[in-house]
Amino acid sequence: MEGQFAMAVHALQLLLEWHRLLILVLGVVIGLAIGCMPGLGGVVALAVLIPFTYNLDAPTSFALLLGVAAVTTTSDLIPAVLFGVPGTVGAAATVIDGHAMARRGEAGRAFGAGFVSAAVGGIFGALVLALAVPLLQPLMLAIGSPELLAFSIFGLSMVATLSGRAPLKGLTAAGIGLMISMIGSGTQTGTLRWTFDWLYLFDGVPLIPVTLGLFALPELADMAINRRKIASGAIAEVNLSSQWEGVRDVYRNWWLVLKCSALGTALGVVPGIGSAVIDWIVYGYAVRTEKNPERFGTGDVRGVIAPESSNNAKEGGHLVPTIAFGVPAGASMTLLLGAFLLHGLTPGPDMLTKNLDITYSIIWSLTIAHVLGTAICLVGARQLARFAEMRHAILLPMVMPIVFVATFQATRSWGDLYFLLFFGIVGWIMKRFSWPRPPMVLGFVLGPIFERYLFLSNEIYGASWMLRPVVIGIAVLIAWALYRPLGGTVVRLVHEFRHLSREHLKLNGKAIFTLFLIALIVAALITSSGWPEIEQIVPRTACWAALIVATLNLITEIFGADQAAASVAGHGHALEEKSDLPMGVIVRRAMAFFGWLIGLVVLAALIGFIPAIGVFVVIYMGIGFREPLPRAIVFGAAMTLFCYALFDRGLSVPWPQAVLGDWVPALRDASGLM
Amino acid sequence: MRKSHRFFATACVSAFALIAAVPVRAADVASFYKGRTVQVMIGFSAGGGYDIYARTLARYMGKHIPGNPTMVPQNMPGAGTLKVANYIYSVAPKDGTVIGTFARGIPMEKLLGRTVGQQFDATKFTWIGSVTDEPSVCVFWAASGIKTWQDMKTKPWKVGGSGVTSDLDIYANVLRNMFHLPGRLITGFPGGTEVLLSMQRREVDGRCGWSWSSLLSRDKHLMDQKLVTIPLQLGLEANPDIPGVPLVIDQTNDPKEKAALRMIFSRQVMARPFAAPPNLPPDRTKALRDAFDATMKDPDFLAEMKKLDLEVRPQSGLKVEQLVKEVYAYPPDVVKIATDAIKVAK
Repeated sequence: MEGQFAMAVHALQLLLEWHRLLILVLGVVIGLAIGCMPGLGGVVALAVLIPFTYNLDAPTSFALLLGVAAVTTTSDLIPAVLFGVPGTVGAAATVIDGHAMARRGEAGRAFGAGFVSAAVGGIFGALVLALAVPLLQPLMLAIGSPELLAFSIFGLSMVATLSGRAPLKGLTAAGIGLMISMIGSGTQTGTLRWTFDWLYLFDGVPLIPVTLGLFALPELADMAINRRKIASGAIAEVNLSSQWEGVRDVYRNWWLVLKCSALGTALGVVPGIGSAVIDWIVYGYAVRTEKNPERFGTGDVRGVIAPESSNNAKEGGHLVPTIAFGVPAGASMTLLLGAFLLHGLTPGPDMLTKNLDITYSIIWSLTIAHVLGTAICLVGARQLARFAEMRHAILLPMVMPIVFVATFQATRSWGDLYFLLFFGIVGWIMKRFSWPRPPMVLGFVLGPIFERYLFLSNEIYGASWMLRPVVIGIAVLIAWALYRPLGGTVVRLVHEFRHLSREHLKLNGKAIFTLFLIALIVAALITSSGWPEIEQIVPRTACWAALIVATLNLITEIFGADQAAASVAGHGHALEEKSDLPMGVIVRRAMAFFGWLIGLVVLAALIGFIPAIGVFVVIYMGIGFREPLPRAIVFGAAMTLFCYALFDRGLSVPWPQAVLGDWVPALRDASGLM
Repeated sequence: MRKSHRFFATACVSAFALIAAVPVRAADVASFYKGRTVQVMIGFSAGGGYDIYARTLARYMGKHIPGNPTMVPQNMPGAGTLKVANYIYSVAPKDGTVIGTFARGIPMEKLLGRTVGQQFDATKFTWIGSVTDEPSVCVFWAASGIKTWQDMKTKPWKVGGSGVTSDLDIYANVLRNMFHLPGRLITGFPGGTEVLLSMQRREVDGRCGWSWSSLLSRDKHLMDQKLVTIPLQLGLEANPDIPGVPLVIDQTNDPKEKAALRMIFSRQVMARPFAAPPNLPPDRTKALRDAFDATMKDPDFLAEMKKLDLEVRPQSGLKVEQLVKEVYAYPPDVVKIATDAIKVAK
């Protein structure tokens, strides 16, 4: 123990040498900037930076990489609160209450609470990792396939809480999410499931287009439809004193912060469970355990504290299997493992003996990065808050291209953009018709983990996997999580079905959307009937379940009395756009919005991404929003330069070949952009 | 002034070469590559073994190509590296400005009956070479009691796999099908590391398909502490560093079965393969292959690889090409034996 303490101190000294500290600060600044960009997260940043660490020593490299990886989930709060657009996949849950607070003029308080709980969570995760160092190996050996399976089921059980008052819709969404996650090559026989021989789908649908489509585009679409500023002058009140209010909120809710940090760390240990679902699971958990749950969704600061603390805590958890066994817990950890390799480090026992100083330097980097990140955000938030005062006519043409190119980072294929558009339209309709979206993400992320460990557990242990102590413990937790929401659900459903009547038969937009989903599910069932039996089990079970609940939902929609509006978390649809616009205008503007996006994709295919962005911004501002042409041109040029610097120079994105480049190869040769 | 003239001339020549794809004369190779970049496409995400091999190669190979182009590594993961193989074969310019690396098993996939999504003919790639050949081994946790090939043939065992197209699954299935072994394959692990973790938990007994070099460089302690046993080598030739461990090819006397095994395990020879698009101008093919061979002898490159604990046992482009062609020339009955052998065993 004493040796470990000495090693920890030695590692801190290493890290505090000025050049390493400087690199760490650099990493933190890059990470914060990346986290602010909707769609860009730690994975992109790490992929770009790892090759640069070739010539650095190991502690310096990890200072840089962890500096980046740690804080993207701190600054992702900023666009989430200001625009309702999550900065990384991990900030989607923060949007609900954080954005509602901003609309009330409490952006400062949301910032203060979010940043500080992020730091506390991050330090908590690092501390757990530090304390767990001697126990890492036995800890990981105790978590087998059955335990991982149980964790994924626990995550799925949160669908119940997150569906709120629309259980049928929530379950349908979860089922469809699970179905989508099954696309790709099956783990057991390699059967290509629902890929239609499209190479892009062999690896499944990537996460980024799904989350950005479901959570970012609907907000942007509504911004384009309602055509007003996000907040009136009140938002300018982001200052130290308003942020201090948020800091005090964290203090007042210290128990919640600890609970959520602990849950975030624990979930982080499970390979595959990443920030895209941890925020929702913890949000659901907070709703389930806190007093006055009905306040969640209306701009309750606890709805910011819970996901923010857990998402930063998860990094410590992620590192447990990575360091102890070289098993990456998430996409960012896969990359970090590559960095280990690059520096001749072997994850495993060596990291706990011979290279213990590196392990501790990783932990320190994580801790210091979180503190630095929060400090910088607290000071800088005021400047960034001004963005929220911009008019939609300027904001939209600036944010849309970033979301667009950032999505392309998922796999750098056109498929990313098709799915962004698809999920954007579906997400917007879901938002309009009060379909809870989080269950879809839960099903999507947890589905493959569930399937994988279900088969492994059964193959290895038979049915006895259910009797393992940790599994039983988690099962109790799941039962507790399901007990109240399920009870309420059954009561409400019985009530709803009793009030069905054939008199007011309605076939409105809502019913048509449900019919569309049912048609999708039926098509999925038909196309999957020929697969080997073992590859059918999970996807087709999901299909049948989704089909049954979707049909029940259709019945309530056609025959039922108007359902009470259900919201994202089942509460407070109060913040939903209560726009007084007539339906026709809404539909027309929505179609225009998605039309512009489709136009951007087509334009990119014709003349290349970066030139397309310039042209798009000019036309969208000039014609779409009737801004004066000179202004449109200035903004277009600025956006082009910015995207060129960031994506071409910074991230060296290999641009797909554009039609123009085929016609004039010299242009392709000279610019490298088409 | 002169400089800009030269630039203009180079640009003209290269633009001409690009558009018309006219092979340029040998003396022009240097002027073609001068000031250009050569992209090194990597079918994996940053970090993994293939990525490090490619990045290190990219840093040293440029100076051995006439004209000293800059080599720029670029990751293009997807579809188990099918994406990058397709890209190199049919999209990338066929002028020697793109080379790349993909999974060693990819060239053999078609032969083994898996053709979905493939847009290439493996024999037509311009093979540049493989940085190393890598014998692979079966590794069992010592406590499982599987110590020898004889044990594998007589005692029940379970090995882990990571999906039907992974080497782990292919090798395990081949052994079980061809030699009627009493073992089981439990597949669906995310990767080899997870299988190792599962071995330590005693959930499975071992894994068939672990490259000897990475076992040595990363998990040598397992052997030092006698935690694992190695009952079988998987490859075409016995590795002298693994004495006393039988080689899979020697376990059958049937020449056709031997040929089928050769077909399946040939991928270990081209363990870190690099290829360029088909139909390159011959002088640029020669330039790239020569540069590859020269890099493999470059003391700086070797020192760097040593530092990274990565093996270098180079296989020339010609040798890889011949190997792929040899394998594709096997008669149908041998191919049938091989495809039957890799089928998922019940």
